[in-house]
Amino acid sequence: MLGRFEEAILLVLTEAKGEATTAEIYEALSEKLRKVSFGAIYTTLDRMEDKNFVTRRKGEPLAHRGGKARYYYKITSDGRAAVIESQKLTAEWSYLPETTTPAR
Amino acid sequence: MSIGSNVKSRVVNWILTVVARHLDKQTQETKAIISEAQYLKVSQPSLKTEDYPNALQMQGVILAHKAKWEEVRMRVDSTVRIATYRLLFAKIAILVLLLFDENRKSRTIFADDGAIGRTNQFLLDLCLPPDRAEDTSTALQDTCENKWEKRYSPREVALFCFVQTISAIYAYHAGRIFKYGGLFWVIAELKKAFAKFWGA
Repeated sequence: MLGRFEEAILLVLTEAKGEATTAEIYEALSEKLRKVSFGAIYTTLDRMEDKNFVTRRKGEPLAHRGGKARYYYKITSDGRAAVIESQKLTAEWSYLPETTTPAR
Repeated sequence: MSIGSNVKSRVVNWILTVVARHLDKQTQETKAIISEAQYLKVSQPSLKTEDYPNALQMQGVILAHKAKWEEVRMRVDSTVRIATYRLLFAKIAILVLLLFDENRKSRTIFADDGAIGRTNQFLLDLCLPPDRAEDTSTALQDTCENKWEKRYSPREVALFCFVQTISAIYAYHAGRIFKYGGLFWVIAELKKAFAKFWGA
């Protein structure tokens, strides 16, 4: 079962052709969600790495970053399956009207 | 660039010298306590009633002797506690130094002049393992260049960087502390680091 934030990150990775850097994930999420922090992204990525939903690889060292490298996160087949399952579950309640009372 | 091994060994030596000086003081203190305890043992008050004019005086002498023993015991306790704390502080200082040194090997140019600034880079190097520090550092720098610097003032960018640095550090440590059962994890990490340091 995926959390909403986990699902959002996996969707960002899917949209980015399966692989994205932490900065790209942050930028994509902050466009869609109101408050995003690097801490939340790292915590979620670590958790999903443990669940084998994402993998991480180190990129090439960058001269303009003083030899430091970017890290790329990639969605795995387990991650894709989890997203599909989560979306199927949401679809099962799609008959509910959009005007269900929001929390006040 | 790494801290020169000369500087590193000088700092470690300095810490060890300070600890050795304190331990010397405490050795002397311990010797004084031992000799006082030996004296107290030799000069134990008599427990024969005929040696005292009355019971009240006997009670007074025995209680005074007991109080001296109690004082010695408390001094031993505090000496051991202080020695333990000092050793612990020295170990932590050396640990922090080693971690910082390990992370500084890939110190970046922008850490001196760029948006992320020295303080944030220092915090990342100090508080995160090398791969996470590197990832956070490049990610923050990318976000600064692609997004924040285009929309916000330098002061706001600096603030965002600082907040996100703290957030990444907090998330890393809080995540592991909750995951591995807090204190046990910290102890295990310390043991591992000491073994690495003293074994090297």
